[in-house]
Amino acid sequence: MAGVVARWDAYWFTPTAPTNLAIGRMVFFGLLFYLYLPYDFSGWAEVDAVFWLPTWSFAVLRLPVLEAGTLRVLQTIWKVALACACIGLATRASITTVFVVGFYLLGLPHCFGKVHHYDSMLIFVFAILALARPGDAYSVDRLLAQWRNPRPVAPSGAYTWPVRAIWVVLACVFFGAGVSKLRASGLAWVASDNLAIVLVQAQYFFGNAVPLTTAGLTLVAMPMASRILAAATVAGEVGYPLALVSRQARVVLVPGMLLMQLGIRVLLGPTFFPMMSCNVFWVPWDRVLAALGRSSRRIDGLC
Amino acid sequence: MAVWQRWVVSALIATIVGGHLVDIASGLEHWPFSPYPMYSRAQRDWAPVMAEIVGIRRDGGELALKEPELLAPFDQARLLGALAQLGMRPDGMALVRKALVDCLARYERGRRHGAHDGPLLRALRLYHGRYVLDIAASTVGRPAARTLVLEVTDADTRS
Repeated sequence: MAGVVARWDAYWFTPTAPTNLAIGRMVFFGLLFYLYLPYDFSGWAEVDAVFWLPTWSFAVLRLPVLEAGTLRVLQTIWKVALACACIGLATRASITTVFVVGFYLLGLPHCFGKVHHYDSMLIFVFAILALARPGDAYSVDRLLAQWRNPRPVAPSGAYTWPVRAIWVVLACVFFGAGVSKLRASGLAWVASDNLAIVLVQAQYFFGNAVPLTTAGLTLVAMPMASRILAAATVAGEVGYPLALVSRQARVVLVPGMLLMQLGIRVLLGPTFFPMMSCNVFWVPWDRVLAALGRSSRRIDGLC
Repeated sequence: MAVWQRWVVSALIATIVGGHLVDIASGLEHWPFSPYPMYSRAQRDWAPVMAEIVGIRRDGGELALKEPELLAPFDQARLLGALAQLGMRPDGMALVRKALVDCLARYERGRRHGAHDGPLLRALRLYHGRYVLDIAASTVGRPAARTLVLEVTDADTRS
């Protein structure tokens, strides 16, 4: 038992520098700010009550549809909080606001008939970051703190667990998607015309977005290509949790699944950009910075 | 990190994983937890029946309402999903009619406020169309058969 506890502790709480968490925070909230800035949630206030089919959490919490004016105020607060979380200004308060207001705003559209699956994981990422200390570096908060106390930030387990918890969220999403396919359809998901039909059907535009290209049709014309793609999809999804513990699996699965989501946008139409933005927490920013530092020194040497 | 902080973190992780496992095992959706069932049902039919929402212009011509700004704040997938859910209820057709009337009224409001540049519509129709899919997508917009499920008119939006 002691061995299990020690391994658990080592996985989650081995002290690391704040770099990966802090730069991840900056890029993540920056991307979300960019993605959601044009989106207007207030339109949902004007939809007839006949469409109101609340999700479980909205029903349990008895959350209503707020008036358009209130939604406009809420979304302004949320977008400002996203920007503050990105630059690390009042980071804890900003991210808590992003979490609480985001739970309502992001959840609201799903109460009108269909739950899309491109943004629900953001709620967990917000919760994790609200409990963490992602503003301890690369933030306005840090600049202000440094002015009072110039000591460098010491490595801590507090910078390790949030990054890994976000990995776990992504693993839950992909694993769930893989298991759902196998449960609903079994091996027919792979060993039938399923993906070929889906790729062709996308061109008829009955989804929530238009495919960017007609390349899906080229793929369908190649015998076996869609089945190989389907097999790779299910294998990648079900196997994704391996990325949590194996560096080799991580190198294959994380970019592989990211490419799959890009492929869905290009070939089928639906967009998973909010979910894709969570992948910034897989990036070893400390090593990226070190590599950039080395190459800039090399360039200096050449000059 | 203090021991109590580690317990809080462990409880959070257990909640996230546990909640997802419950939904994955049951196949039920408890947003924000989910079994993520997107694209999970294998498609086997090369001639599927698909629901379509079509606007009827003043001159009687049809306009396929597919662009999100024409259906805002819905996208097509969400709207068709909602109509399918409403249709399964005991008073399903009445609810679908009410929902379509709301769509037509919203379309017209959006048109008048400049949210889109669609034409003035006199009616909205819900069709079930059977499309024979082919790998050149040559039958896009040309269903092999089409059944009118429901029509609502601009008069309905005023009543």
